[in-house]
Amino acid sequence: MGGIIIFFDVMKYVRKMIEIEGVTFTYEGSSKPALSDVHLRIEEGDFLLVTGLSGSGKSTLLRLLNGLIPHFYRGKMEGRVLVDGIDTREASVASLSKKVGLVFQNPDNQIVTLRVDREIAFGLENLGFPREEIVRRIEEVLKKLRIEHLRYRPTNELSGGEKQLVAIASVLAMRPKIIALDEPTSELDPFSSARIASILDILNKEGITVVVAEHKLDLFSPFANKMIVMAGGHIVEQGSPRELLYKKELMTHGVRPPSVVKLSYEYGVSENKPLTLGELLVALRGEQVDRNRGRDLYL
Amino acid sequence: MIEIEGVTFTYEGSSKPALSDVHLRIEEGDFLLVTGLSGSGKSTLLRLLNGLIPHFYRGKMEGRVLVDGIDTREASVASLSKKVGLVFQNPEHMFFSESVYEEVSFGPKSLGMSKEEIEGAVRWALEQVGLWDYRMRSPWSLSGGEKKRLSIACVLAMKTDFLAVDEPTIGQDSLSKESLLLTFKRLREEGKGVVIVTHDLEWLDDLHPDELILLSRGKVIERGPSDMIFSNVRDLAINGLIPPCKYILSTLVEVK
Repeated sequence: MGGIIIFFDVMKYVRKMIEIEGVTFTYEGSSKPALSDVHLRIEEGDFLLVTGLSGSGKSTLLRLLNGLIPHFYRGKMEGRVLVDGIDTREASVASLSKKVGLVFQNPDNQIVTLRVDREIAFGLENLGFPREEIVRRIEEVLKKLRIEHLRYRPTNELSGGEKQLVAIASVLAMRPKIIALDEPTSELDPFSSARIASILDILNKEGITVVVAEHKLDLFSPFANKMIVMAGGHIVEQGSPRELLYKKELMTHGVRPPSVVKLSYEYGVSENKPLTLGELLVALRGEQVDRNRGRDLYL
Repeated sequence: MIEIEGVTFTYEGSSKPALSDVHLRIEEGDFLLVTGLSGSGKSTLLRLLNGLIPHFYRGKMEGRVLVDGIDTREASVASLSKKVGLVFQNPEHMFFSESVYEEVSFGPKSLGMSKEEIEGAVRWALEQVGLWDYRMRSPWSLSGGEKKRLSIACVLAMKTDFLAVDEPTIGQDSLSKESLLLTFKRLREEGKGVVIVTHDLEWLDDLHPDELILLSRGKVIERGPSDMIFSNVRDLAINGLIPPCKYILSTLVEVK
């Protein structure tokens, strides 16, 4: 009896945000499934890093999360996806977009208006929010991303990094519980990329669940608590970044470990599994890596 | 040989020059890498090499650029592009064919190669970038990284003496980055002059360039062997660039 009570107690705190149950999806006109029998559970507060070669199914996986598949992309879908307990096939993309915000690789494909504040208002206007609420939310997200100075700027004059921040802002304005990003930094310079990574960390600490598909493992792995590796439409590895990035099998899926991992093998401190330069330094001094301090030591 | 002699260029409508007093000499067989933050003048430098500046982009130009002894102001972009192949940062701006194969064969055709030569060049170029199996697909159906590799193949097929590529690693996964690395190394061994613009410094370190040029606000602020420039972690950081891990580490600790 006591066991059952504890079980329900735990269930209250570890809330499943998204469950992908045995999903196989084949795009119309394609003979091979883009995803094969994928099972995945994303819990509230997770920071999930999705990696794998191009064409391994990362983007398709993200499109499942807010119902773009099967509502927008045609194809054959087996299995089901539950967002907050609701089957995505039975919910509209509009209602799902309040829960799951999706940011794409190329911000140019996402930005539709000519001015930053109108861009952020766009989604809210379409959902019929009152004007005062829209203004309030514009101010809120601009402040959160520290881009108040961009408020009245024309969107076509922004740099790549600024555009991506505006794309993230317009998704955040919907106050989603989950934000999913498909290679958000692939077009950005190192400085802007690092800024996106640290902003996702801040959002995650404020309670937003983050799912990010990326190749830049050095930048994102220190912030993630979960990681999956995809290959040929399958999830082939699943675990914490620290555990996975020190697995030799990673190479067979075409994923290369970040430089810190390579260096820690080179200097013989790989048993400490450092993920950041700071942790590598600590390991080189012969001290144990303090797992809880990892993020502070991120350089 | 390409010689850039004291070039200062200001785009029309801009008050600040995009490049200031740049001197550069690139010979066949040279392997040159250019890095710097967005807006530092990297792309402007590339546009000088095949005459896009001053023929295509308007502005005020001082100094001169010589390609094989010919002043680019006096040569046409068409004749210059037979010598210098340029790959832009946004590849989709140049696609217009219905298939990947046709797209790549356009350049060799316009150079007047024979049918056999064209077929050989297209196949070789597409194999170099790992897109031979995609030859019947539409360029528009490719992913961002694949489009980039297609635009590299388009230029490779023209077999120019010089090749200049703007940000080749954008959107590429680790395997594609490794195969691009091999392609550029092979071109260098074949005696081509290669200029690559990138801010992917970890990748750049693996290329072992002859010379690395660091641009900032239109000026060449550092040039020399890459390990020398990378060891100057502070200067790179000031310019918003993150040096490869091992250089940061070696400035922080003496590793035995």
